[in-house]
Amino acid sequence: MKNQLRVLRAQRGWSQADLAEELNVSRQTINALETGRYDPSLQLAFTLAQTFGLTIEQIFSPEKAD
Amino acid sequence: MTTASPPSPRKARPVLTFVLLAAVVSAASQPTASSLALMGEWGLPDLAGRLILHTLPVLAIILAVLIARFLARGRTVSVRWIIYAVIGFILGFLTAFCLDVLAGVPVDLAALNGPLREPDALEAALWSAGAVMMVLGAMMLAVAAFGARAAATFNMDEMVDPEAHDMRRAERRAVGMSALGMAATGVALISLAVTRQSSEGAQLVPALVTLVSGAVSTLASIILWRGFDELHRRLVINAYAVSAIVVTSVTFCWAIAHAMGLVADMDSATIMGILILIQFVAGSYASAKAVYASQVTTA
Repeated sequence: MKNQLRVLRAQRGWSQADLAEELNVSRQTINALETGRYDPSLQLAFTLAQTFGLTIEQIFSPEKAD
Repeated sequence: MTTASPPSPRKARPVLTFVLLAAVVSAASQPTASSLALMGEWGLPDLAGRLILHTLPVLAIILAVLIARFLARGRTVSVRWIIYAVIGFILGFLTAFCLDVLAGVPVDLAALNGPLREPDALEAALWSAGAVMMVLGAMMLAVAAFGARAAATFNMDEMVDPEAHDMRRAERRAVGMSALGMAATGVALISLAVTRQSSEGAQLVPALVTLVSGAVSTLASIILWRGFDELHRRLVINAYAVSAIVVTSVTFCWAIAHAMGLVADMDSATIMGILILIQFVAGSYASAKAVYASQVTTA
């Protein structure tokens, strides 16, 4: 899956650690998500969408990550 | 939420650290008998032979650290680990050839708990794996205690936030718990070897040490699991799934070979050793691929 997490996070001036703390996950999880090496659970995807004030589809797209 | 703080400079001294560690290893060891005999065959006086055998591993470690840092520059963590593993294997072989690093340990143990018989292949493997795990555990403990600086020293930068150049308290706690679990597993493996090597009347104490350190390792794993998020839990589950498949395959093939009289019966210690090794390799590989593989360092 592709995602816009890195861009969205940068737009808000948040570090990986900041976002990790907000979502109650590890910093490595944020890094793995951003680099497309890990696809989140449905629950984490919803929490992410809520945190950014977007829908899941606006953050994640089904194409394979680069 | 707060914005990221500017990165603080790291003042690690990796080469100096490894020089000091190598000097300690050299000072605490003694040349192996076969290597000394070889020096004698080459016509070197005893003192010169001893000097060379003590010095060679230290120089090799310094050279290896410099080569490893050069080769690892700009590589992903997975490739770096492979480079370090290959260089570490060569270094370990050279050091073992020159110096008997654990020469005094069995003697001290024998003085405490009675004589130990010579280790067989499995016991030698348990000693080696236990020592490696204890060293890794000590390194991780240093990273947990001293954060970014220690991580840079041991080239474990992947444990540090690439943006903040620091470690959060929660990350330090997790690394510290991993270090405790790894060191406890190392102690359990070595004390299991000692239990097997001890005479019947002297097996109780090393068996108890094995039991207690095994319990500490299990407790550390449980505490870690409770603190894991979904990514780390999935990594652990994947590693255990791979381990289960590999161990089943190995024991299946072994059973066939045993039925044909080609190999000896596999005992529980061998199965445990294989399981720990496979879990360690599978877990490290899964972590490197999923968590750290994208990070590139210039260390």
